[in-house]
Amino acid sequence: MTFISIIRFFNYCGIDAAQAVPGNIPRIKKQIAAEFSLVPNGIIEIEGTVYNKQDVFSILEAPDFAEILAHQQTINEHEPLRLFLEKGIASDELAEHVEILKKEEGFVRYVSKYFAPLFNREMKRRLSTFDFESAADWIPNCQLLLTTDGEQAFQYTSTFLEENLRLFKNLNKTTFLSRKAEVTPWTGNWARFMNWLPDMIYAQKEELAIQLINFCVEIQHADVSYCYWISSQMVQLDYLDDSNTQLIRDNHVIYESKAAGTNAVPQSVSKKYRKENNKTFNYIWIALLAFFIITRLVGSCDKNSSGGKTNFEDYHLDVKTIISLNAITKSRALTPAEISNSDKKDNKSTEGYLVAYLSFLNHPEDSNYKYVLSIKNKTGIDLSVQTPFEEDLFLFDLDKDSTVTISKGTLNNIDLLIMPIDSTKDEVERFDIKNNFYLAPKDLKTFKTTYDDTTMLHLLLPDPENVLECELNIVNNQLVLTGRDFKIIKSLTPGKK
Amino acid sequence: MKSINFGIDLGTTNSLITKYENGKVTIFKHPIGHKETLASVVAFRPGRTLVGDKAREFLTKDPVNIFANFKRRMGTDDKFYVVNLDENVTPIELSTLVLKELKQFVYSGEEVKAAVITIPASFDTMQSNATKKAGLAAGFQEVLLLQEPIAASLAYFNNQENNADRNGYWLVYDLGGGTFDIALMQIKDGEMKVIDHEGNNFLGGADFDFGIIEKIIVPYVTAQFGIENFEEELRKNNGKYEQLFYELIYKSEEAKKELSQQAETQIDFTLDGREVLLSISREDLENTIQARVAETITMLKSILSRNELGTKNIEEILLVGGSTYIPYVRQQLAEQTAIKVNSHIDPTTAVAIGAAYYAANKYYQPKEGVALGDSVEDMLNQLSGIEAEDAALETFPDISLTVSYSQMSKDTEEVMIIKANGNWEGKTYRIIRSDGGFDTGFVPVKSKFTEFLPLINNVNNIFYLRLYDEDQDEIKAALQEITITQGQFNIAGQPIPQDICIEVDDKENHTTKLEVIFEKNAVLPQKKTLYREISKTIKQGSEDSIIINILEGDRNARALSNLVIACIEISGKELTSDLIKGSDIELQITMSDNRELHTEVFLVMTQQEFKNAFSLSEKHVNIDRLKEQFIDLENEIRNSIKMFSYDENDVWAIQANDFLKELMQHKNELFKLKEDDRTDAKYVIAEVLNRVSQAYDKLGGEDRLERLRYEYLEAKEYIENHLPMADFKKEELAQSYSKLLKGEHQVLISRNPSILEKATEKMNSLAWDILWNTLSYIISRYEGFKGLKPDEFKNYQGVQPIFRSADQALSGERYHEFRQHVYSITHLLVHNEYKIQNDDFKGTGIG
Repeated sequence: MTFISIIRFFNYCGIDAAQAVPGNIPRIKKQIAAEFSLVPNGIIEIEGTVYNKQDVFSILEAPDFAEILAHQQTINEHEPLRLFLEKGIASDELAEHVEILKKEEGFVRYVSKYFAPLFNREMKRRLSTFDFESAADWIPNCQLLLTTDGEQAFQYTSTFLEENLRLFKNLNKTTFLSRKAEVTPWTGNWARFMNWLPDMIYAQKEELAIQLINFCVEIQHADVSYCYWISSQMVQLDYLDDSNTQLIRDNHVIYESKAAGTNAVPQSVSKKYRKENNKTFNYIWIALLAFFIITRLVGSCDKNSSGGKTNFEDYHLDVKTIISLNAITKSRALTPAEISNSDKKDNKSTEGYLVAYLSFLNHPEDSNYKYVLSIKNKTGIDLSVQTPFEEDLFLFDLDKDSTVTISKGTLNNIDLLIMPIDSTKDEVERFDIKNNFYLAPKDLKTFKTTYDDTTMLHLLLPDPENVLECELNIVNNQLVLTGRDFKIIKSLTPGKK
Repeated sequence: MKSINFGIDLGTTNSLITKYENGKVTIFKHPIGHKETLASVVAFRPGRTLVGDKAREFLTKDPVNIFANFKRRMGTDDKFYVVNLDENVTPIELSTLVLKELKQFVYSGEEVKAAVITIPASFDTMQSNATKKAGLAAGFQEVLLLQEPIAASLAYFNNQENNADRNGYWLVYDLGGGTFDIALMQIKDGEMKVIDHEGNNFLGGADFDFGIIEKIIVPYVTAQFGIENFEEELRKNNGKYEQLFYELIYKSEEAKKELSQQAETQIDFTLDGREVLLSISREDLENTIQARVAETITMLKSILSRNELGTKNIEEILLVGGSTYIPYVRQQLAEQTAIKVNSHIDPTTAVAIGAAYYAANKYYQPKEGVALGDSVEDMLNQLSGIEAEDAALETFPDISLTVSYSQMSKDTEEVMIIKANGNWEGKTYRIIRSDGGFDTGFVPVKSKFTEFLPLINNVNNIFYLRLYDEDQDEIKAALQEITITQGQFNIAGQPIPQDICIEVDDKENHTTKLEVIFEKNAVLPQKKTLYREISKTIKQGSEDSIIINILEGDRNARALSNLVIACIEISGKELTSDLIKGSDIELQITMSDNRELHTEVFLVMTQQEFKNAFSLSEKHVNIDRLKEQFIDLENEIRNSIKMFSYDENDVWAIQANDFLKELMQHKNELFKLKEDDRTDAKYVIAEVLNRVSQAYDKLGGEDRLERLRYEYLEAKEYIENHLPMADFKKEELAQSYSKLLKGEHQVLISRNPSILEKATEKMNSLAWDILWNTLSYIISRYEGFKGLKPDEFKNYQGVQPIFRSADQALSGERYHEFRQHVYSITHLLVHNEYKIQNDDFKGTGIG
């Protein structure tokens, strides 16, 4: 579908958009009809955009015209988006505006059908020169798309993958040499591009990856460098199943050793290999990977030493697992208003526990960061920390003065339910709904104006590859979690100490 | 700019001319005889040409020099040989003569410089263009075309008696002398719109007349007199009974009209010296026309179901066209639809009246100069105009106003937009209604300004627009009188009767497909820019080419069944550099109110632009493409014959075989043709292909469609049962299935068998894909392959290692690998089950 700006057309006709209310539409239509009668061929062209009467009237006559107008005004206010929708020009600033607008569901529903064909064209423009980096940079803009428009938006990408799949399928070590130029683009940085492509073309992604595995095997002797470079990208793929991922890694070790001592293995390439690619949070791909890796730290079991790290065993709670999971699920849905209402309730059930829900935003400049969370227990009491992992729950003890380190991996968020290990013995009452907390950056006000989701709080990590260190304390009878760049903002009712 | 005001109904049987003035429509009459209608008949008598009733009188006396019903031949290459002139005339030339004659009806002496001419709604672009050409040849400076059902609606609803404020749906049932249209109209909040339409350009009174000959007279004569080949001699050119044929046509028409008033009539004629008197009853007539009337009702029901409307949603059926006088037609409509039938509108004059209403709000720019044929008064007026202009020139050299408003309105106010050109700074304007009830006062002129003019109900509201200079002196030459009639409908615009599509390559299926540019029922004018890519490399200087075919018809039909209305062929010789596959091509396509098509092509890689304004005389056929289309159609018909025979459907098999025979008659000739052939052979063959394709699509009627739908649903059910069992590429297969389902509704309601066949083919192809991705199936086929004899493999030695690898993969549960090995084995089979691909597919070059 082609986007036409009704606002621009109103300006042309001297119609005040504010006057475009239901009762006034017939009048406006008359004026517009008269405008079209003035031009000889019945078509009005405004700065390259073509308007015909039927298209304009169909917008005016739409039952949700008021909503459409509001969305069009939004587009008008975001010049890079308007430029893109009208002329297909993708400026550097567009991404910024997409980030702002992607959260407005109604707007996305409106703009998606116009955005999709242009998104596809822009993707084509970038991929036609095998500019994988720029194509990868372009992908996050799909956050203005609905899944129903995904096929159209990624149509060229699908074709591109299929064509290249055919290429690799039909090359052997001999024919490869005469067609090397066609393979050369795949020696660059394409892993991020492939990782970020949506699930809807997963089958093609997978097939291409598998074909590349075979291809590398085929050419490993014919061209060590090409083999290594391609493999270096493949090890960064994060969407394959375990067996293929392992196969790629195993093969890469061999290719790396073959390529050692050649100019195929510069430092920068090695470094890139180690980085993990993080999946962008997309509006339309709502299910985030909700797992993380808990690293076991082998170290001293001295629980009395401060700064020591705890050995712990992961084990599942059979009885309370489901209850806790339910608690976490329910708690996520609570709003601050509901939390404060619960102050009045005396709810001591485990189901009332709130969670600390940590969500990590990608660094604005580079999303290849590994997030590591380190929590030190400085409350003076032994705590247990529960966190859901896939369909299950992990529980680990966090003794006083102990530290647990959690490596995020590809995760964007962590749910933590923190409570005393044994409420009967501890000096602090069981943490009930009143005694829980949530995290926020230091500047809550700015944060709240930027993010409106009040049950999921987002932390912007300042530096790459740093460990986010935080401590659990009891301050003024409140459980407090503090860190370098965030602090607790509220604890509802103090427990006794 | 002046409003056109004149409307013309150029009918198959009769034509009329009307004019809109001050809220009223005048129907002009023949200066001699004072008849409103002019028979659409032309007689080439020795030394003179007659048009109208006078010409009609000679139909039986000198039929070879008399021509009627030529409207149905508009847009074709048909020519009529005139014995008296020893030359051919075209349908356009005959229509031009009728139009010129109509101009004589305008008794005021006013020269009719522009007119709105009506056309059937289902006229295609070529037929429409032919009509416009006839109008321009008749001396009109501007010709606008209007669809007949719209004209009829305007006439009906602008009649004061019918002018109640109401919303709802109406059907306009227009059964004329040669054409049939049915249009679904909606009135909502004072606006009238065409929602949908159907039609048949070869269904009308003329067919009923011929039906009387074919089904009543011929059987009677054959039975009574035993004359051999009577019908053949009657129908063929220069046959023994050619003259009798025209006489019988004339008398059948008269009989048909009489039977609308009485239960029985007689036809008398002379046959081989014998006087024949044949009685025909109304019932006899009804039997002959039953099937064709049923066809019209099927189309009516189709429109309703397509728009999800029931008969209860329709206010009335408005009858238009002379053939609606037949009682059987009205009776069938009432019985079959249970919708109220309104026959109060005069079916003969409604279209012409509506054309005048439409013409009132259409403008044209008169060309300067005194033309021959202008009346003295005109010349004087022009001179005085020049004087006035001179006067104005002396004082105010350069200001003019362009005014846009609607001459009719259903609302209590109407908008007027005025554009001021030239030196408007410092000037003021004032608009006053003639009764003084509205006065803008003195308002400064701007380059463009808008006024809303309040209207008094149901009268002509006259406004005066005056212009004043800086000294508040009126500029008399700029005075404009504006008349707006309150209480009348105008129409928003005319819809396109068929999809307008571009033919693009469908490389996957080694064929082409149609992509919609403008959808059926889109309101004109329309303009669109398409971005496509070149699907094959064209070397600079080569013979290869890309073909941009714009077609009119059904988007779901094959390209061959649709009408090419524009074609641009860009060969390598025209390129300034190589055009690489995948490079971009921009196509800008414009269709005017009058269905004139204009295409502009821009090749991004070579930065070249190509333009094409469609001309009736241009017919372009690319021989390579024609050959591909021929093979496609031949294969399709052959497959159908096999299927029909398999199903023991002999009737269809025989019919399909006849189509195939007709096609094969031209095959040798086609494949001998070269691109530089200067004969008409390629056009002839292209026409045969088009005709056979359309006829083949209609083969079997409803029964065939039902069967094809059943097959489609069977294939769909198979996929639904087996898709969950797929072990590989499940998501991709599911996506493919979803994709197929997206177009399902259109497939199931289609009346085109090839659409259903193609959809079923795709379903079956997907079903095979699913099977070949289901492990249990692959294993069973593998076991089968192992049992094949050596001569069933292309390379028996070569396949052995693959068997070994497959066995290992299977036992190692490496199923993905196993599947690949089995695929490899299939490629080494002599009898490959997969479709043989046409590797030489050329296509259009547009992807």
